[in-house]
Amino acid sequence: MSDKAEILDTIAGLIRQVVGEDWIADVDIGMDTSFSDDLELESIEFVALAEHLQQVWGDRIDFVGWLSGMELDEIIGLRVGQLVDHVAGCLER
Amino acid sequence: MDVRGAREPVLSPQPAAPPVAIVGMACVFPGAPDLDAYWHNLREGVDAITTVPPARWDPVYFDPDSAAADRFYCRRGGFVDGLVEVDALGFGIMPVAARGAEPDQLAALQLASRALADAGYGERGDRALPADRTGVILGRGNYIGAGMTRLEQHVRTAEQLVSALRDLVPGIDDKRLSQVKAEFQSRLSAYGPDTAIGLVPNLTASRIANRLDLGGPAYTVDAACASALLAVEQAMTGLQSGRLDLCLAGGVHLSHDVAFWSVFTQLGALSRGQQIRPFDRRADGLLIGEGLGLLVLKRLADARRDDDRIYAVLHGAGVASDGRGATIMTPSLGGQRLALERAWSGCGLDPASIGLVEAHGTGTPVGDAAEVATLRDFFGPAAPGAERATLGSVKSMIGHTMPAAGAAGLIKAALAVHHGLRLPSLHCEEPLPALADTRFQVLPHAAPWADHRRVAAVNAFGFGGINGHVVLANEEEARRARPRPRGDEGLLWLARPDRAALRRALEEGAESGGEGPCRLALVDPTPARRQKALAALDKGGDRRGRDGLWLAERGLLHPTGEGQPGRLCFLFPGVEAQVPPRLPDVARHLGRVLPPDDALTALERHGATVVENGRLLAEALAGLGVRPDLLAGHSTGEWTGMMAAGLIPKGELDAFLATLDPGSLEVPGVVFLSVGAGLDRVEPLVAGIDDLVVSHDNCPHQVVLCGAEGAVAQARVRLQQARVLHHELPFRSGFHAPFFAPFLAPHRQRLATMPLGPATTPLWSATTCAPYPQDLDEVRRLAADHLVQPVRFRALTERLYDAGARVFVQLGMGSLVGFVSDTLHGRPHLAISAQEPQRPGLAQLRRAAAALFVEGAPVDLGRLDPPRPAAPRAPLKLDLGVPLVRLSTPLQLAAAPAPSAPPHLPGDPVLARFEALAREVEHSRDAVAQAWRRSAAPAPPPPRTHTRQLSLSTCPFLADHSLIPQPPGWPVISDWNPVVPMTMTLRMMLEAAAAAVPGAVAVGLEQVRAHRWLAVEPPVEVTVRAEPLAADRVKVTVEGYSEGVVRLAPTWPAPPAAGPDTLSDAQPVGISAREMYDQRWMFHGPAYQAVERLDQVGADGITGLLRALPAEGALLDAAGQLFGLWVMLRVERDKLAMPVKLERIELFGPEPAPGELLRCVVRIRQLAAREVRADLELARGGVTWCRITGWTDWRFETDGRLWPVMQRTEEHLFAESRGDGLAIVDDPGRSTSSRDYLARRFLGAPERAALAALPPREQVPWLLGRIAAKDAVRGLLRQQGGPPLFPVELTVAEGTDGRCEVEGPQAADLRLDVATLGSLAVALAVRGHEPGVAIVPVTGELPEQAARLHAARAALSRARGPVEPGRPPAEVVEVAGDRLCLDGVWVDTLRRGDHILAWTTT
Repeated sequence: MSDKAEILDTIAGLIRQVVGEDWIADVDIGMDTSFSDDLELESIEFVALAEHLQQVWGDRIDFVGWLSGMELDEIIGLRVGQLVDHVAGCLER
Repeated sequence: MDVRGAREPVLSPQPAAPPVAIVGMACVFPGAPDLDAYWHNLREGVDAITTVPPARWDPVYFDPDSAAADRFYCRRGGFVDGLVEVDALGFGIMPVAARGAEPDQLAALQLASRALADAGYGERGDRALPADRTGVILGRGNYIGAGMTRLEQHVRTAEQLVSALRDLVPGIDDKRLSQVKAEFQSRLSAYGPDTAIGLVPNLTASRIANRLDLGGPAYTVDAACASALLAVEQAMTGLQSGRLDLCLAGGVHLSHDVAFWSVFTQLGALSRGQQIRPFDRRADGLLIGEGLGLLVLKRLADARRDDDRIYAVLHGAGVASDGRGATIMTPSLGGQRLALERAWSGCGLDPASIGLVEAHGTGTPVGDAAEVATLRDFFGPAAPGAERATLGSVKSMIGHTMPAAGAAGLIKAALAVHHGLRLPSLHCEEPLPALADTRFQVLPHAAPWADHRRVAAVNAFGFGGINGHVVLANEEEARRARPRPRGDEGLLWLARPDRAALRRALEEGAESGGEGPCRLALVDPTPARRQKALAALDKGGDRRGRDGLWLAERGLLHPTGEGQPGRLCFLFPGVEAQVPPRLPDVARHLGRVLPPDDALTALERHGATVVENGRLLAEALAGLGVRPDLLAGHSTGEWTGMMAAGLIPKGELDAFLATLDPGSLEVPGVVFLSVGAGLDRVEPLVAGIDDLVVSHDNCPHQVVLCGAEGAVAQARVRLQQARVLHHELPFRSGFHAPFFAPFLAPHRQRLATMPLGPATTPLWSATTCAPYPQDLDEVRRLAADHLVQPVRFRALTERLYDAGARVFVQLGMGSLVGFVSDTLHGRPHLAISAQEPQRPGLAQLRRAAAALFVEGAPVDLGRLDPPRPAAPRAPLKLDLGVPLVRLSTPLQLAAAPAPSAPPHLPGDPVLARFEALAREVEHSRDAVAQAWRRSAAPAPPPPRTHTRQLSLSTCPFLADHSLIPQPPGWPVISDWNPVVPMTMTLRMMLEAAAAAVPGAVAVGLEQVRAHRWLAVEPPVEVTVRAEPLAADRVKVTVEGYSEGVVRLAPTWPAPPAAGPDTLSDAQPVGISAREMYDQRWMFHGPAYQAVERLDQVGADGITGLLRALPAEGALLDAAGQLFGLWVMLRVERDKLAMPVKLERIELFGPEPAPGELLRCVVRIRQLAAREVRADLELARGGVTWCRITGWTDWRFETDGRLWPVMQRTEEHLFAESRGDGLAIVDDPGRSTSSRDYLARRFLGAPERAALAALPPREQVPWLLGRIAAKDAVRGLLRQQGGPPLFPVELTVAEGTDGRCEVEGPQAADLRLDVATLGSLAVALAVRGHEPGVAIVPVTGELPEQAARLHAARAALSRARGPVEPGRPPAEVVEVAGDRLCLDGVWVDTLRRGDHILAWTTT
């Protein structure tokens, strides 16, 4: 569980870096935070986030493979927690 | 085999009851006026405990050393003073009734409305509440509240005070006792029949059902501190059984009554240390809190179906009593454990999964120990090494909110699972040792709660052994909640010369406005968000975020003094993967209705919506004063851009898009692949693959590849291996690649023949990354060729930036904002979209406009919001305390009382003489009165009648009481409709009565009713009949018009002193009396303009100064004008109020002479749907001259369409005008009186006569047709720059050929056609040729497309005259959307309800 908390922390940091604007510092990024509804993340920012994730965890995670199994609607509806779960799952393997 | 005969074993457990979702919440708790603030406090661990405010209980009660029942050793707790606001008038509750009601009733009503709005059932919500099946169940203790205490003081304490004084003070007399009692009662809030009903306790729930029109059960539940959870449990049961579809549940406690404190003091339950420390070993008792929390509950399946935002899912609830196992004060483990078992059994969740328990945790040693034991017992001991679950009690922050405690806890737990945060609990630095043996720990700070499944539980245990427990978890299903309508999120915008001034303005709560380069815009400016803005200001730097806060010291578009200001670029998106929603609210804002889209295929719709949205948003921004310096588009967005640039005339692009053959939008076998990386990375990766090109270079993180299916598959494998994000796009147009070349010819052709004009704003091409050429043929070539050339959007963004573009607004939904920000990452710029899927159109448009304002663009933000009434309604702050009454008038007691003997000082002859005289006067007064009474005894005199001629010749002043303003000098008097004011009729009644009983003075009037207008043109003779009912009462009838009963007396009664003129929430009226008349708030001319000055307007009335004028009834009419003005200022619709009845008028002297000034106070007593009632008082020199009780005005039906027409007819159209002389009237369901008003407004005398001559069935269509005709002409003339025109200045008449002809100024060569059907009318006015219009119903036999053709043919034949017999009907040559081309003439059509309207175009 604490692993997940750590991953959430890292991912929240990356999101803040990608958005790169002051306002995001005030936003609580939690497991239930929605990328589109709560953060209004642009699709391009999502791509940049993926790039950062890959840089942090390298080949241990396959973000691209994971997303390629999703429909567009699912990707739009993604919550931070799902990403945390995915990363945690990859790291366990 | 008979399957039904085989019995199932009965051992299988009952299936779990369906889970229930929390879809909306609202609360007020200490330190938190709303849900957002509560969440903030929970997260940050804010201690909201304070010392008791003196208004709640007097400091005299505090004495830490006393054991007396009325002295308390504790004086800290949780208070919500100043946080509870109610828009009472908005709920139809008069302020006087609101002030007298039990505060928790109004607070609960306000919170219910807020909770429903939070669930998406707001006033502006786009979906209807299942009202018949919505319940209200509230936990509420039957403790004494402020309202009940005030009543008690009125009735008992006042008498107790007097009785004590009478017993104890020698020499005190009744007069002085009455004085004391009156002063005491006057210091309490008002009490009367209006307020009494507010004291019935169950109203806390049933008033919600009443005001919000709900049909489910509504009741309160009292189970002491477990009340709210019991309410939730009952709500769940109601939903699970299917009896309810929606339920408001929660708890309410607004009471810090001294009796309540006394009980807790006597029980020793309060903390001597003045600190509430749940689960700390130093805990010594609780602190009392208060507040309200409401939740909106719904079956989970329904919530998922409705795409609700789900805070948490309630899986189980258990309730149990301790039985005999406990004393009243000492809890029993058995009852608590039973409640937990009941909640968890069959709820589908494993107690081992518990992650957070919001405990009852009151901070009393016995209670906390028992609860810890129960938790240990039920959830088991700590497992070695396992992470501990979180235990907390919000009582550590807000105190024990008693019956609302379960709601405070449940809202906290729901927010924790929703946001994935373990929440802190305060003052538990030394946890109870017993906790170590449980699975729980108390956190001092918030910590992330990262489990995917987050399970929580809430305890609430009540006095007397009643226990509640609820199990909840987060919503697991990843869904996209529907964007909740947040149209009215509000906006604060400020401009100041510098940062310091801006900060000051924000701190002082300044209204939107100001001047200067330092600017700020804040969406949804709640106190919490203002704090956030302050913090951002203090932090320094500019803000250009998505969180609805923009801040710039000197915006990007602001002239900096040195160098050029940045330039503004509009970006038009092309067709992207997501279909954008249409923007009906933006269209409405522009005064337009979106055309129906049922005739389009999905693909056409998609493309058409992108264009339509771009155009609407450009027009809306232009309307706010925003003009772009540069334009650019992405892919086919360049076409919208061409139109915005002025290159393509408006009508042509529609035709161009509408006739695109959908087949041409698909190139077989060609696929687009969006790739999440830059060109430098992608190109080497896909090098060597044939039939694959880069079609879009969007930004450093996106290129789009286009290629044959095989080639794209190859590319995907390589990208997958390189772990580069990519996905296939859902369309296959082959645009921007050589594959489209074979399909280009038709587009080229169409562009070749399209008329183009010069660009008024430069449009940049994403093909050349430069402005479009000047030469129009080159424009045509580029506009077509860009379909086979790659979109170089990244390079275009760079060039635009080089050209000075700093602010980019995307006009529609799309990814361009992201592309721009990705390309310009780190460089100062703002990119914002004017449309976002999360919000209604106007809300996002407002955000874009706000951002532009902050960047220094000239934006008229005020125009985005509908005009508000001059004096906005301020919410009523509820007074929660009942402070001790302090009296200030000292008693003057005589030293030696002599109760019955008159004062007698012997030896003073002057005094003796004076006394004798006084007695004489007294006697003679009695004699007169007795004589009067004697004379009243015999039979009353017989009725008398007389007649009176009423006309403008007999009463010329009535010209200034004409209801319908017309052009100055308009000669037809009846068109002005002069009428006798009701107040003049009152005077006629008083005079008639006085004449019938000679020698008497008419001192009042009762039961006045007006039946209809008394119009004086043509002149009229009225019969006035005075029928004495008794010697002092005469019934007067103005036959056929009005009646009333006049009261007579021998002399005027003594005038009382003028009453107070204070109003609640009073503020200046905002307009002057002069403006009231000049701006035609009132229709009155000079003879009746007797309002001299407007003073204050408040929630419950209005005050002003009147000047007596010679015109009959002018003075009281002006009092009525004040009353009418209140209605206009304070209600949203049906604003025109006219007097219909009066209960009672009391006069205390002769009518004031012309020129005399009188102070007038209007007090509103009741505001109902159709009527509004007030009491009025007119006073001169500090004494009352006239008192009117129960003056009732009828509210005429005036909707948003009619109101502007009433106020300034010459400037407003009643019809919907679509420009070019087309007017549509669609006006079903208007009341007769409102329709009569319209007829007076639009028709001259001959036309009214023609209307009256028609059979009743034909009158409405005829009237609406005339209105449409006149508005078609008025609209056309206005568009052509003509002066304002009143409808009576135009005459529409049927010509010889069945067509309408129009006469009037500038209408000489106008041709007109009108069609009407039922309550629908359409008219078209043009110059120079015959127009044609038609209305055809859509029916089963005549479906839409056929009806469209039929209507178009009918309109054409109206324009051309009847078809010769034998000639075939006109054939359709071409169809473009709703436009049809018949024999070379274009006819526009529009579906309106079940009808098709058609009209010819030029």
